[in-house]
Amino acid sequence: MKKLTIKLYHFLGLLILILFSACEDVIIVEAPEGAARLVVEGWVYDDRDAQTVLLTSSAPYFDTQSPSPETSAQVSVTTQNGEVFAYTETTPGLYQADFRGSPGERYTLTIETSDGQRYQSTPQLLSPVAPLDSVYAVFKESPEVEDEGYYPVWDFTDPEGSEDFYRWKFYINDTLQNLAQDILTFSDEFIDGDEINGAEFILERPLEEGDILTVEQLSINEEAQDFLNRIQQLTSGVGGLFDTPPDPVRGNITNTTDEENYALGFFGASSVVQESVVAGE
Amino acid sequence: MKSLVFVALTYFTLFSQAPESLDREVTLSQPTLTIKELLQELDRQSGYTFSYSNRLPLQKKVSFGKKKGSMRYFLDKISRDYPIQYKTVNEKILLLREKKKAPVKMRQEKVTISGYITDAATGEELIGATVYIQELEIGTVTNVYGYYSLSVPPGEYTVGLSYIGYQRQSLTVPIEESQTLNVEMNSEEVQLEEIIVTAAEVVPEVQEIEMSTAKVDIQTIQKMPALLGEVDVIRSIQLLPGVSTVGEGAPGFNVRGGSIDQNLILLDEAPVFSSSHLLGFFSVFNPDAIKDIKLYKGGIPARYGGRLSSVLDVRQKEGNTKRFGLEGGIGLISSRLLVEGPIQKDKSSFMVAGRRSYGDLFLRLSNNEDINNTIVYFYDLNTKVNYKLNDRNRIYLSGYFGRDVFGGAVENLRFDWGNRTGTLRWNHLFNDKLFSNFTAIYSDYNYQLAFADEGTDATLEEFEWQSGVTNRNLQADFTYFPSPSSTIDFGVSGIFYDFNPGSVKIRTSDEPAEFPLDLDEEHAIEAAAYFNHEKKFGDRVTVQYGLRYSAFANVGRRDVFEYQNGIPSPDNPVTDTVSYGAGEVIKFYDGWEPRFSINYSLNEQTAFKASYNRLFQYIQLVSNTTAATPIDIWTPANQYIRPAIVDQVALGYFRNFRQNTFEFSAEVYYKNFQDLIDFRNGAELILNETLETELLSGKGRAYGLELLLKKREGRWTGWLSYTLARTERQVDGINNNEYYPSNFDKPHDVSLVLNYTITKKWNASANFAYMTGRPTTPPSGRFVYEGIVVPDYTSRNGARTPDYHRLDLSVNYEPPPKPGRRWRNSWNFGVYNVYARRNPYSVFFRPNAENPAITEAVQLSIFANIIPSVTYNFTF
Repeated sequence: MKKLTIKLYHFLGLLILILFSACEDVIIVEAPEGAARLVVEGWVYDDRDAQTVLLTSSAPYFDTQSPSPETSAQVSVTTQNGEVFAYTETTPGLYQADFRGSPGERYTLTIETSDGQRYQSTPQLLSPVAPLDSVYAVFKESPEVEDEGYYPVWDFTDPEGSEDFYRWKFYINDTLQNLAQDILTFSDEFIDGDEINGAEFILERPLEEGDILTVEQLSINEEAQDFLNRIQQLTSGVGGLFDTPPDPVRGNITNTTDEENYALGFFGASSVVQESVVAGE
Repeated sequence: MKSLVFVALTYFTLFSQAPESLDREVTLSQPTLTIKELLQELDRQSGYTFSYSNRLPLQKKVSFGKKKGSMRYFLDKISRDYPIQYKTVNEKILLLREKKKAPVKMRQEKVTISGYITDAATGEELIGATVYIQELEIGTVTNVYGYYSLSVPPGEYTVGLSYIGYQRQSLTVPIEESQTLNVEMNSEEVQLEEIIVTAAEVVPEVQEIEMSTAKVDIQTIQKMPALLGEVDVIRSIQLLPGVSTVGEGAPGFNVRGGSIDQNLILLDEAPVFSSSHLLGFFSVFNPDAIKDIKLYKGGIPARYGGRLSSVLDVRQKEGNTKRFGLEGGIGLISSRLLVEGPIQKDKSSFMVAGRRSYGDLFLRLSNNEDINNTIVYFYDLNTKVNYKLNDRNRIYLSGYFGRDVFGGAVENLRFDWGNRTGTLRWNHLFNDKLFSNFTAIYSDYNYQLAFADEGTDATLEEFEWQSGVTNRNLQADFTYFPSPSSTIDFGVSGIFYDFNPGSVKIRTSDEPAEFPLDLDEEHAIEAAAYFNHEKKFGDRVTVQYGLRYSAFANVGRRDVFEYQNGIPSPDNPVTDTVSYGAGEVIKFYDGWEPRFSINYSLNEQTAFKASYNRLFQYIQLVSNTTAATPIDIWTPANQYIRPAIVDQVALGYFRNFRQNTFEFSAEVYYKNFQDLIDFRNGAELILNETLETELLSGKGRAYGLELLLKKREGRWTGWLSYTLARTERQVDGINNNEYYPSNFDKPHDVSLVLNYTITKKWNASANFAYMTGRPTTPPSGRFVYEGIVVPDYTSRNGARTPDYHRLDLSVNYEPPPKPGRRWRNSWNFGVYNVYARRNPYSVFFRPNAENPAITEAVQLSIFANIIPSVTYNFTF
């Protein structure tokens, strides 16, 4: 429903643009500055033996530099039955622990920063993910798409009865397509138990013949879906008359020492399946 | 006792002269002169001889707006401004000192004159025309049906009638017993080479009890420059003080810091839920079909209720009862045609007016496939039929049907919405002092969205969604005129609502069967009873006091969710579902709404006014976009949503200058709002079965100063207005629980409207508007997630878009009709946004397209260029 709403508002905006000669100008707006916050990017996967957490800091809005890393923090992940995995800082801001995620396990992230603030995530269940039946790279031409090329198409079957949320990540020659518009999440609300053939996605940049397409299918939960969708919404431009006033995106990390000084970002856990195909073969 | 001096009567019957008439044109040597000089000049220039007593104030000066005029015009003016009355006897004009009291007969009981004031050419009833009895210095104004009633001691009186745009009349009427006096007035035609437009009213605004109201006449609106040539009622009222809008393309209007759902918009008494077409660019009112428009911003009389901030009372024309007529126009964006005429001469008539836009035809010429497949149009149909059964009973039936349709472009989307209203009214005169009106109304507002998606989600194929609100009203309104200084209104009303918050049908490729999702319909009843008394004390003080009792019941059949802790919020899960049967009361609210206003006239030119009102609003528009979209939801009060309440106090100072040529007013107001609906950040409002979990309620306050200077007479007419105002909200859970500016908070708002009569055929108009930018929520910081730069927000509405200003010009050319022919036409040439100001339509914050690491603020303007227009109008 949210997607539909977004689509609708964009349609209305597009219509107005079409109807009248519209122009865009870059302007200066006085924006009040907020405090710097901790930003968390961490995930536990079941298909690799090393898990990472990236900690950075937020910056003033018109800042142009790369985000500064949050160093010398103590990072650990605890499982439901009390097992603790401690992370060590490998490069500034990047923390790593050697373990593999298991489906069915619940993980909680705890952080203590060098200035004594303690943060904790909500517990994240690593749910099993449906297998990918097949992956294809299909050639599409205009007028269907703006850029002619190969786009991912895949088949999978949603398990019946369970509430499943999905995320798909797309790699071209092992490079993750990570523009905001490339985020794709889905819930099985209307397709529970269905066999889906020919799910497709129009990437910002298509594949050329000979490129290797890798599609990763991940299980996520509703919290993660909300967070990722909001990230996407916020980066597509806000402030228009038909846009909803922006909802500050928080994520699932709370500051247990000082509630006002909340953190941004998300910590989640997913089961992963993937498949690769060469475009044009 | 000085003896009266009479000039000897001389009969010039030997001279073959045309019979003299008061309509003869004369030219004065100067516009300001003494009464004695005036009479001498009139005497010289006409065939009349004057007789007058030298007890008259002959040395007093009078000032006219012009030097040329009819004899009647000049004589009326001096007899109005000074205690002079005049009588014609053949070729002689007698001027006498006006008697303070009318001759008193033996019978002391009062008699009543009453009746209807109508347009002599069309039979249309004139709303707000003044009927004034000179000898008693009392007067009244016709009501919305053109009816007036005055009770006076028996005697012979000079009854003066006046109305903007019409020739003033003065009738000598012997009133020995109660009688009906219906008068037809002639519209003021352009008579001379140098014209002047409208005459001043006999009872200018200074003396009326009402404050915080604006009456804009349709002729003024029709001459103002318009976007793409579309004359627009709503855009015109946005140029009045206290009225603004969120943005250029936003629908609705904001009055004194109220949101757009706080305006009660009535078309022939039927509520209209959406006042604009094409998302706010044009209004739903076809100006050809409209007779009268009145906007109440404060001091709202007790007969109105249900919306907190204003009442926009729009009345359609009845239809010419004398002969058939056509009126219409062809413009760039739309065309209109109105047909009216008698069904039975002087007894019944009809009016049908249609308007249809065809802007989308131009889109077909585009090479871009998205654009040339787009369908976008709107239409309006206004209809009315009325029938005068007899002197005491009249029946009116009106209907309005309007629709907007969007389609094509993106994924076979088709989106249409519109209002339909139907009103049946019966005016009944119990006696000449008790006027009543009974109304039955049906009003429906709904929208449909259909969508066929092949692609991204392989599952959703066809999607159809409908939503809307329907209401059926019954009301009875009575007006009792016990004496000229007293008018009593009372009445009752009941509204039956059906809300359809959304029903969806979905069809997928795999399953040909549809599976619907239906949100429960909500039903409600809103009832009210009111009483209002307007009383004049002596010459200076008029007081209006009234009380309205309103009640609202949210009833079944409906299933209601109950939440943990009794509080609906995303954190509290649903604990139970309670089923209510049809008509069973789920929640009941009621309230008392006192209304009070007072006018103290210091003298004929100056008045002070004060008012207080309290209003309840039981249905609110829930929208989480800055500008409302047609798919926003009208939500009734229920067990989780309380009705909204406002208290408003206003004080005003009114002053007229130069014989009412200029009118100046200054008003300050303060409004306190309670229980205004707002929504949580990121709320999902569409097709949400637990909508109440996304809503929050808060308070608001609005205050401001409105200044207005109007010029009514002369070659230049128009107004200049300045509003200094703030409007703020406070909702727990938003902006750290502190007050933040409302989305439509515009501290400074300046409007200038000018009309200049160049010659008899040519007339030019200009509008200038300046407004502070609207609040917007900028990001307070940025962070990076998965390589994507994301904005962070803390405060709500902490910054502003750049200021808005714009100048429009237009020129109207109306060639005189060929003698004997009824066909008249005119051309209007206009330019919108003359200096091509790029006003911000919206302000975005986003990463730079070339370098996503840099974030920037971008403004989008739509009417960024000069937009010329041509419209051709005709009347037959």
